[in-house]
Amino acid sequence: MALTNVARANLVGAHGVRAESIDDDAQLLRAVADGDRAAFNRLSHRHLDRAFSVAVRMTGNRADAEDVVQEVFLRLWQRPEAWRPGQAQFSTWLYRVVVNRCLDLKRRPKGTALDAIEEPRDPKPNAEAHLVQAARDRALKDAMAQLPERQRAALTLTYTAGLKNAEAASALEISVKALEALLVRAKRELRDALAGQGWIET
Amino acid sequence: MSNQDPFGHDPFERNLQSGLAAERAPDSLQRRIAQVPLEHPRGARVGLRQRRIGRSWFSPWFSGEAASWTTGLAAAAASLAIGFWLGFSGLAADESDGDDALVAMVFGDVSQNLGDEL
Repeated sequence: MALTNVARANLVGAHGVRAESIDDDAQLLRAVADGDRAAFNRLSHRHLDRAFSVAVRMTGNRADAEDVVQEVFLRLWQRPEAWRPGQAQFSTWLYRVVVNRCLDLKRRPKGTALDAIEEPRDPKPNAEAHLVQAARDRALKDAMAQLPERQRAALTLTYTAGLKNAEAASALEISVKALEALLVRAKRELRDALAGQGWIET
Repeated sequence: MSNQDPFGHDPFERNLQSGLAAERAPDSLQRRIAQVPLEHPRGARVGLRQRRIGRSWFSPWFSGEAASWTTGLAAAAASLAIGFWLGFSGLAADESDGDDALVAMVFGDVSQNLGDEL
């Protein structure tokens, strides 16, 4: 597989540091600042899934999410010094950048691209359960899309990115109390929306 | 009837956790990200130079707004040094024919008797 080959070819960085052995984001970023491709690959593998998922929840569109995440990681490669140690954890900072880029994208007027239309999922042997689950997820996604941006960001950072309340509050540059209030309101609206469609009991 | 289960887990909360859980990024995106350093190369040599300049004691003088001040100051110092060199070379102190020597140095290919023909 191409990805595996690229990653393995870059395993040892420009300065002879085995990026695979580095566990600390800050260390990896220092290596990235020195042009270490292996460190960049390690860092991106570590955060890519969550960054992508956050972008999907925020944009509601997988193609846009891919573009946003690629742009964020490109900027990270070109300007790794944009993250400053001591301000926030790297992951908190990264997801904040992703959320902000998604909000920028949503504010930009554009038409609906063909690839924005979700492809139908392949039917599985347990097709009925799968379809029910897919329909429930779609309802949740639609309800998420109706939420105000900040509520959606609060839910995404806590449930999808897995940030603690204090980290999510830091990412959104609000107090923990304000974040909790956003979460309460967001959940109430989601619950009402899903209950209205019969997906949950009231 | 409450929608809490016997273990105290809210079904809605479970739906939320599973529905919003992070998913695996598609292979296409993973490939695109892996290509970033290859399509936008930043050589180790550049990084090393940036590191040397970035960590040296005089680096603030050559960064951002300070660079123009530093350049101006260096030009002024060089001008002063040339002035001292001219002075200490004896040219200025030579009272006898200092003017002629200066003319000879500046207008070396012009006759020193310029105007005498009149």
